[in-house]
Amino acid sequence: MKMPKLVGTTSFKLSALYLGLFLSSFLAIGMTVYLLTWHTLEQQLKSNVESDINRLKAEYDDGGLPELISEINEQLTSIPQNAKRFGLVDRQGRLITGDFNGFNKVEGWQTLSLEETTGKTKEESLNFKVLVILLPNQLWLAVGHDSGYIEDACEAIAQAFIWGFLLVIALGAVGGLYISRTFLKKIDRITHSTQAIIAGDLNHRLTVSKNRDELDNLAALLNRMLDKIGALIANVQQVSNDIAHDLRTPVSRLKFRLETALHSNLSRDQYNDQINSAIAEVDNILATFSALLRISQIESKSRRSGFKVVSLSEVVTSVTEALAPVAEEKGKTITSEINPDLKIQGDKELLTQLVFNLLENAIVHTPENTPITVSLKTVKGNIGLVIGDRGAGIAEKLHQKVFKHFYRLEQSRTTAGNGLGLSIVAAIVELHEGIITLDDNQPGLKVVVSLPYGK
Amino acid sequence: MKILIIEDDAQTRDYVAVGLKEAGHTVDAAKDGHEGLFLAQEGAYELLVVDRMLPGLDGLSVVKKLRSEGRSVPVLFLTTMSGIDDRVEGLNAGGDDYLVKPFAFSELEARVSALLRRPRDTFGQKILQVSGLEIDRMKRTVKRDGQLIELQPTEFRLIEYLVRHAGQVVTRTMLLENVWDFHFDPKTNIVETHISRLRGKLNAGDKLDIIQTVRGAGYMIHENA
Repeated sequence: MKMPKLVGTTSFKLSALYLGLFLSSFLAIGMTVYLLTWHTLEQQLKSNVESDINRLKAEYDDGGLPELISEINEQLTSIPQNAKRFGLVDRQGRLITGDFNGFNKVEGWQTLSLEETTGKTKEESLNFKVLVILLPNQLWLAVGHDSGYIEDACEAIAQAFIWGFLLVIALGAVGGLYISRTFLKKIDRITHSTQAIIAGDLNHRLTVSKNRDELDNLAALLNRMLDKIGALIANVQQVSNDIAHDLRTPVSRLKFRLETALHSNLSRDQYNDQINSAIAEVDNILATFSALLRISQIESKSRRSGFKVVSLSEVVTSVTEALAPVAEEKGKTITSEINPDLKIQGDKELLTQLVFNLLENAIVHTPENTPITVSLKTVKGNIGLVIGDRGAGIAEKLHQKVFKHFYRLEQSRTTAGNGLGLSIVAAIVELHEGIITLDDNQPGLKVVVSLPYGK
Repeated sequence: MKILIIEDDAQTRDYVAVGLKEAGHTVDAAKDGHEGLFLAQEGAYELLVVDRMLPGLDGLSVVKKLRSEGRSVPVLFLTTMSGIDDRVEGLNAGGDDYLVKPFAFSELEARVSALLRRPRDTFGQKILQVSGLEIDRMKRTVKRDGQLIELQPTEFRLIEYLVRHAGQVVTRTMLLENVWDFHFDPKTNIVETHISRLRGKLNAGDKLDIIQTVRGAGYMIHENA
């Protein structure tokens, strides 16, 4: 994984941003704690110094100079060395009592750096916060407390925060890189898969992990899209195959007919007959082309685009009325039971063709003087269209096959038709998200089409 | 009538032009969309026969342009596009009729005649009278020589359409499309069967067959029998 690529990823930038924000807050907190601590400790120290000095002043007020001196001396002996410093100095600056006199003779606070007094040796100097007051008779009193611990404490805090800061940067950087890498790997996988697909391997699919996060959802959706594309391509391929395979026969037939006519010595009328037959054959071929194209169009039609409300009751009624005389000519009666006002979302032209094809089949593929039934009603929440006849029926093992392109049953091979009628019907049913099944009409064929109402 | 055909395929163009000339029309031809649009805007044609697929400017655009200029000349589209929505698209663009290639010339001729008749249409007329037939469109009744004839709704629509196009050939496809709103080719002879029933009712009592079968084309009712 190349670093520049990694650093450029959105996730890394995002991680860096979060890290930056966090570090800024961290710093802000650090500084606040530092300053607050310093301030608080200093205030505390100052108030201690003040109370000390006030006590001494009270002693002075009570018992005068001797009392003060005695108190100071007592303090000096009882407290640990270097914790507190006292200095009582006269107008000339001569030390009356105490352990230091190097302070400015000005009332107020001073910060002094005083040498440690541990016996003889001179140690490092310590910082003291000193308060100086002026007593009557020009006496200067100074009390100071060691403020070293304040600095120590704050330094410790500062150090802690600095270490913490560095640690957070380190963890953040590592974490950010890790997260980006994981994310980048996933994206890379998708990219490679997609490239393989573009290069031509249409059966390739993206891997979907069990995480069900957005990337997995995306991969799953892309897979479904690929499935759909695969189906469409297979569809087109099938049409091409069909055209090549099954149109060869009638075209060859046509060629033979024309060649025979060419080489025969026919009269003018006989030639005319041959030409007319040839034209009829060409019409058949064109009809087959149109039917194939129509099936292809129906199958690739975007679902429900252009669908309107269609009254199936009206469609079935008009088709039945149109075909009734044709049926009657062959002694077949059509009995219909059509519930009124059954409407669905769909394509009126296609639905009309659907019903027409099925009813025409019943008329054409049955013996004379047999009845045909048409019914349209609501069945289990869907619309059910049932067309039944008393013909030879279709053997159960052939139920799936008859919907395939160009399939013709043995008994029908001699009748007009190209074997695509049921394929068109199947395509229309599927476009409307319905189901078509064939049943035994006991005897005969029962075609059952179930169509959902649609939204 | 003066007809303009806009078609880039020479064979189709000649087929149509020659046929229409023989039928007595004056025919001009254009080879591409721009030439066609120009001629249509200049000349006063009574009918345009336009191929949808043209080099330069396609047929739909030519007709849309003409319609946007307020021209109401009847337009018949020729096309290899038999898609489910293509026909509707053509009609929405301003076309009046739509014929899928290849077509029999008789089909083209019948539709051309039907379109040319339009201005003198019987649209507003309540009662149509032709050759002894009287059709009352309000009451939906038919009388022949004064005698009322019982007709089913489809039969009525059938005779009404034939009478509206009296004197012209009406093809089976035109009947399927206009009387039944069927836009596909049936396997069975549904048009013939209905015409035969209609004849049975109209010609009852040894009367002359008022509906003439035109071989290879369709049916016709004479304007004056």
